[in-house]
Amino acid sequence: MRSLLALLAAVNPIAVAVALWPRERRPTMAAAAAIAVAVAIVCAGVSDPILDALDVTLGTFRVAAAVVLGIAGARWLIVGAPSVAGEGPGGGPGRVVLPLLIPVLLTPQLVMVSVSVGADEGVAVVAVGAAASFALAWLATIVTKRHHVAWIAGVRMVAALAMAVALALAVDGVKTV
Amino acid sequence: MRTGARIASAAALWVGSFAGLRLSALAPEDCPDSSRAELRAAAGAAGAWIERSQGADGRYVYEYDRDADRVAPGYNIVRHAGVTMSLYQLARAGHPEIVETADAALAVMLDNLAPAGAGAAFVENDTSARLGASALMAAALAQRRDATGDDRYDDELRALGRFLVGQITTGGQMLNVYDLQGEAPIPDQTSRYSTGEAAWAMAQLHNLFPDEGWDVHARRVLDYLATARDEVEGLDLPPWADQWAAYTLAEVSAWGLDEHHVRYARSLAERFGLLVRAESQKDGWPLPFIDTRARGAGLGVWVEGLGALAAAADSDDRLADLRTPLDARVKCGAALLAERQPDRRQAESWNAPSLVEGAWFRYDVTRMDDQQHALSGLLVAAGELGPVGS
Repeated sequence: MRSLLALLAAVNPIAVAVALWPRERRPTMAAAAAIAVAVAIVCAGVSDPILDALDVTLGTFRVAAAVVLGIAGARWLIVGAPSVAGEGPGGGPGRVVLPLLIPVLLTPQLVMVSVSVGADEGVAVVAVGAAASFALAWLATIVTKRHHVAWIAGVRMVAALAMAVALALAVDGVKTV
Repeated sequence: MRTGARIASAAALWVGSFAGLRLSALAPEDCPDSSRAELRAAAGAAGAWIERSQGADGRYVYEYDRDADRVAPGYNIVRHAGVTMSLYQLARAGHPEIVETADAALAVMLDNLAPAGAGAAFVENDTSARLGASALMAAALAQRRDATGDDRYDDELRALGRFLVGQITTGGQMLNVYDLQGEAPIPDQTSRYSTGEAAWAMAQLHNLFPDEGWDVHARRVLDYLATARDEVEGLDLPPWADQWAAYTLAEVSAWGLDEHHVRYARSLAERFGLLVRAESQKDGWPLPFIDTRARGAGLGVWVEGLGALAAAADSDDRLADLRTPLDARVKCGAALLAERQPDRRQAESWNAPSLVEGAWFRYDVTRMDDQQHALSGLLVAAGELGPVGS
C-alpha cells in the first residue's frame, strides 16, 4: 500500500492538473501519460542494474528516493504547482514532450520512486501504481474545473502525503540492514 | 518560459539533483573484496601489533601518535582487559602462539584481583572496583579456557562472575562501581558499556559451566538491555549500538531467545547495518571531509556486532531473513578494516614502523582498543568465532 501511495505522491495528479490549468486535450494527455507509465515501468525493470551501476544497496537508494520525494513535496507545499500550460506548442506531438512530459510528468521523484519500489516489490507494483496515478492525472487534467483555490489546496494535501511517505521511506531505508 | 530555456532548466534540475544525491545520500558504497584468508591475516597482523606493543610489565602501548612518534601517557584497565580478551579470541582462531602474550597481560590482572562482594574484582586502586574491567577479565578468562582447555583459572573466573552478579539490581540493571571500603555497590552509577560486557561474561560462564545457574543472571540483564536500558539510562536514538549485547544474544541463542530478544536483535542489526553502510560511503568525495572515517575501534565494534548477530541468526530461524544481509554487511565492514590497515611497506615510511604496521589510525593516532575491536571484528567476519564451548 505504501508503495502505491509513494507513486501517487510522486505523480501528484492534482498538481499535474493545476500545472496544466484549465484543461488539456484528451489524446495529448493520454499519450503523455502512457509514455510516463512506460518510463516508470522501465525504471522499475532496470532497478537492479541501476543499483549495481551506482554501487549502492536498496537501503541507501530508499533514503535517496525519500530525499527527492520529500523535496518535491516541500516544493508543492510552499509554491504549489506553477502553471506551464502556456509553454510549448499548442497541440500535437510536440505538446506531449513540452510541457506535458517535461516538466510536469517525467520528474526526478517519479524515477527515484519507480526504481526504489521496483527493486523492493517488483515491476508489477510499479506498473499498477503508475498506471493508476497517471490515470487520475489524466482524468484531473481533462475535466472542466472551477474553484482554482480548492485545487491548489488539493495539491498541498498530496504534498503533505508525499512528505509523510518520504519520511516513512527514509525510516525504512535507515532501518535496512 | 521559452522552449530552450525550459529544456535547459529541466536538464539542470535532473543533473543537479543527481549530482547532489551522488555527493550525499547516494554516494557509492565502497565494499572491497577480501577473502577469509585475508581477513584472518589482517587479524593476525593486529595481534602482532598488540604483541609488539607489550612491555615487560605485561601492559600494552596505550596510545601512539605516528606523526609525532610519541606514545601517550596514561592507561585504562578496562581496555587492558578488553585487548587481552581479543588476544584469547585470536588464540581460539588458530593462533596458539599468542597465548604467551595474553597470559603476560593476564598476570597483570591476576595481580590486581581483589575481594569484592561475594567474589573478586579486577581493580586499579583500593577504593573502588569498576564493573567493566572485571566483566572483560571474566570474558578474557572464558575465551582463554575455550582456546586452551586449561581450567587453572576457573576459580578466578567464577569469583569474577559472582562479583558481576552482585552488581545486578532489581530489573536487571547493573551498577558500574563497587565501593571497596564500604563493601557495597554504589547506587545509581551505570555505564553504557559495562552492562553489556557483564551480560556477555555471564552468558559465557553459563556456556562453560551449564549447571551453575549463570543463565538466570545473564537473561535478567539481557532482558533489561533489550527492553529498558536505552530509556532508563537516557541513551538517545535507541537502540544504542551495543556490540556486547550482540555478543550476549549470540551466546544466549544457543539456549533459545525470547521474542523481545529477537526484536532487539533486529533493531541492533538495523543500527549496525546503517553504520557500516554509511562508513562504506565515506571513500567518495566530499564525504570524508564532512564526516571523517570511523576509528578502527568504531568500525571494529560494528563488525563485531553484526558478526555476533549473524551467529544468532544462524541458530534462530526467526532471524533467518537477516542472514544474507548480515553476511553482506559483515563482509563489507571487515573488508574495509582490512583495506585500511597499514602493511609493512606502508609502515616503513614512519619513524616507528613496528607501532604502525597492523594498526588502525585516525588523525595519525591509534589506541590499543582500535586493534582490539578490529581484530575481534575480523575474526568474527572470517567465521572464526562463535559462542564459547561451541
